[in-house]
Amino acid sequence: MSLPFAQTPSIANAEEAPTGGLVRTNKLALVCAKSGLDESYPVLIMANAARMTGIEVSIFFTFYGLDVITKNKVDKLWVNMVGNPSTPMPPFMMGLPGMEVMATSMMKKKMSELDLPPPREMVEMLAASGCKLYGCELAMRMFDREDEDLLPEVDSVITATDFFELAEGGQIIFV
Amino acid sequence: MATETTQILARLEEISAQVEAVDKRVRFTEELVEEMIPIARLVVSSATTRLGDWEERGVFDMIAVMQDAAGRILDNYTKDDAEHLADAIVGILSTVRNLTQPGVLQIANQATDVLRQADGVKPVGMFGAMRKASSDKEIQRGLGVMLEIMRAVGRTQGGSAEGVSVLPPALEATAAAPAVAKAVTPTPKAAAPAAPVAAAPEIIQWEGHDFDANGFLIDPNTWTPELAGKIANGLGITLTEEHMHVLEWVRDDYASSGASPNVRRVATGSGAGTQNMYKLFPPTPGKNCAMIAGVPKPVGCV
Repeated sequence: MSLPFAQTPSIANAEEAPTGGLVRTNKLALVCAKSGLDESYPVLIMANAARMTGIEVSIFFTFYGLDVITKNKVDKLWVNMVGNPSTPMPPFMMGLPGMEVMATSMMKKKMSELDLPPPREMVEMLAASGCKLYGCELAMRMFDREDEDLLPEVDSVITATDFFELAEGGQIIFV
Repeated sequence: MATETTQILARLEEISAQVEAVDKRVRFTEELVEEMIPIARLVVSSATTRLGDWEERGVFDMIAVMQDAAGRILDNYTKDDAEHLADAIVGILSTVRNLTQPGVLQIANQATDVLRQADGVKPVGMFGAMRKASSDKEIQRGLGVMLEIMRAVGRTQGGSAEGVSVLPPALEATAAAPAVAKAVTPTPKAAAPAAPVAAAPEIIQWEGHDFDANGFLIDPNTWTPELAGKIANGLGITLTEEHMHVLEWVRDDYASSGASPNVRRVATGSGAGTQNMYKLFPPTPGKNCAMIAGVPKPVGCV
């Protein structure tokens, strides 16, 4: 028995889906290289949305992005003010003490108002949804981190070449 | 010899008759001219005075100008334009009639009065205009009218001239055909490309229930567990106790909150957990769960 209306194109019926001539992405590989709250949240949210649309997703955490999957760092992600071109604050105020704390607490408040879970819970949710989480082997050595320092949800620590092999056939997006 | 003489004589007689006729005609002409001269004098003198009179009054100048204008009209308008004008003439007349309604004329009169007395008006700056607009009822009403006019202009400019046509409804139908044929930019609606699936809010009947184009039940109150089973089958899912527990929770939450719960809310609220949600309603847990539960598509991305 088939339904009479157009289904959301998914992995299962990607071929016959009416996508208006577009080739639909069904595999996504995100690279998270920054640890700012305003820089890593989008990666997690986009990954979750992609999973909910039936897209296969994997995330590669490298350089400061590694903080997002590090146990004692994930709850202390900050909104980095200095050098951040997206903040509405005038540059001479950005470096003042307390500014980053204020901006961070404001963003966290807004996020919880919007019913968005904090980063740690987002990572748990992503792992539960089937999103693959990888740490960067080079960054691990750079920051002197061991496997135990990472969140239990992380699938494995791999190199960039491993990641590209895993991401083959998918869209790779550097955030 | 004698015969020749008689021939010559006869010829002479003939000639003399002709000469007589010519003489008579000349005399007639002379008489005619004599009679005509006074009349002609009268006419010519009258005409010259009249023409002089006209010239004094600038009639010739005007004719010259009019000829020039006519030439310019001919230069700038083609035969097609003239045909178009003929088509539009009903509309033009209707517009003129509307403009000459007493109410409209009164407004025009008052406006000219104001313009005549404009010397006594003080200049108003930006803030003065705002202050006046916020306190003066008449200015507010005028602004409202201006805005309506602007909206009408915008609507015609935007190509959808519905409701601002100057033609009386009965004539609309007859005028519509040439108007569409001659219009350059707006394409007739019938020629528009087929709309994509999500564009039209069409209703799809299936198994005795109304669905929107995306497959969501339009009236959540018509949901039954049997229908849920049928939708789930269509999505390739076989409902179990676990499914029913989640679906019941979603329906209760929808009834109490008035909004479809997102995946995270369902996963934590029903106790199913995120991982199970993907197992129970693959591959799109939020959408499929809401679809089977007969509630609208959830908003949000978590």
